[in-house]
Amino acid sequence: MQAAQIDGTFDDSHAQLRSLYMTLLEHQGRFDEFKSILAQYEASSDGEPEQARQVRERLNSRIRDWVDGFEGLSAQQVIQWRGIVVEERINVALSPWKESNLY
Amino acid sequence: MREDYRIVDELYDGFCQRAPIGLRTPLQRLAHTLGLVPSTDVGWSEVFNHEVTLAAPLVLSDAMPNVEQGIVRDATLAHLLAVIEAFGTDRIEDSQVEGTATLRGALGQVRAERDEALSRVAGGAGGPYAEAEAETLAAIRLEREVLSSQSSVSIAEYERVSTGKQAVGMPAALALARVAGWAPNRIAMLDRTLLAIWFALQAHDDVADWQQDAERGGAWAIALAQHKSAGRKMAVDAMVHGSGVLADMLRLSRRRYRAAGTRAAALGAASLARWCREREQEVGLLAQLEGRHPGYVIRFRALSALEHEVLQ
Repeated sequence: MQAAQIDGTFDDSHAQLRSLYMTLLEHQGRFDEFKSILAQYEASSDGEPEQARQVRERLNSRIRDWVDGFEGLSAQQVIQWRGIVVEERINVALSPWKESNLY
Repeated sequence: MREDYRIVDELYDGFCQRAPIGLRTPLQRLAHTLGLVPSTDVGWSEVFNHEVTLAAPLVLSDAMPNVEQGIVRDATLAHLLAVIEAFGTDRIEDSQVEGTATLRGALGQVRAERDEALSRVAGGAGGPYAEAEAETLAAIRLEREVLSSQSSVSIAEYERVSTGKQAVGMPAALALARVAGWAPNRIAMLDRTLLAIWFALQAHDDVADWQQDAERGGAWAIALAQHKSAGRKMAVDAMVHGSGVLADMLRLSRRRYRAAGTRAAALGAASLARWCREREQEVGLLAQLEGRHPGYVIRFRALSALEHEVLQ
């Protein structure tokens, strides 16, 4: 990570992810579309199937319409975002009670 | 929850150890049984994000330096058990969990220990929890009735019903203030302070959870949006987001935090006043963002697991 930070790669990709996160927060239509495409992504334990790769490419193409110069989400990142946004698998673990964790 | 308030776990563990053997395991697993945590090894301090929710008497105690620590602990125990019991009852009432004999037995033990703890604080005087419980339960049922009728509701009516649900959050803290020798006018001010805080937390929660609440039978955000939209027919999401009621509710929450913070400062409750100011700022920011980008709150929640990774 240190090397990546030195040559700027980390900062760029991190800034891109932040831009994606912010545009999803600020635009309902983009969030809905992002979630809809993510829902079509079906991973396999044997790597990324061709159909999934096409879905990821479509997703990245759409994100580039929203975030200038976006390099693209990797298969691993798409699986992570899908787990959170579509399957709501991670962030509901400690959240259903009657007191919010929002700000 | 801040580290110095994790005493609530110690207090709850002590309660479990004192309970009849047959109830110890159900009590230790209560948060999990109520669907509040994903596993049985998560303490209550991790269930709630804010120390005030479970430890209000302890947070207030810096304004009562003359009260013995043992009394503060008893008041805190009574308060946290009152809140836990209220959540349990609410979940049963709401049909989110099955009210099995074991669960009802566990909640009965929670009530008994709560009343004993409050009695120790109040010097043997009878506890007011039965009255508070009745008021809370009546408000919960009124809420169900209002929301299931799918009628429109004004924000004043919302605040009135919602405030009624907070009654169990009062007795322990008020009893502690009496022990500290506070004059009636200061106790009345504390009462208003706590009511404002409980409502502010509730309103924020009603915003964040409105879609889940709607799936379970009704959400205040929808009833308020209907009121604001004057009966115009449109899709629910569009109506709620388009009406701006989520931002309205957050602004109301912010105002209540501000009022509570001002009163807490006047009462000398520095920790509580500071916490209220922090909440006021956070909720105020969220209200601005929700007003600017309708649905922001819901999307923020949906993306919250990514927040640390993306924003750090």
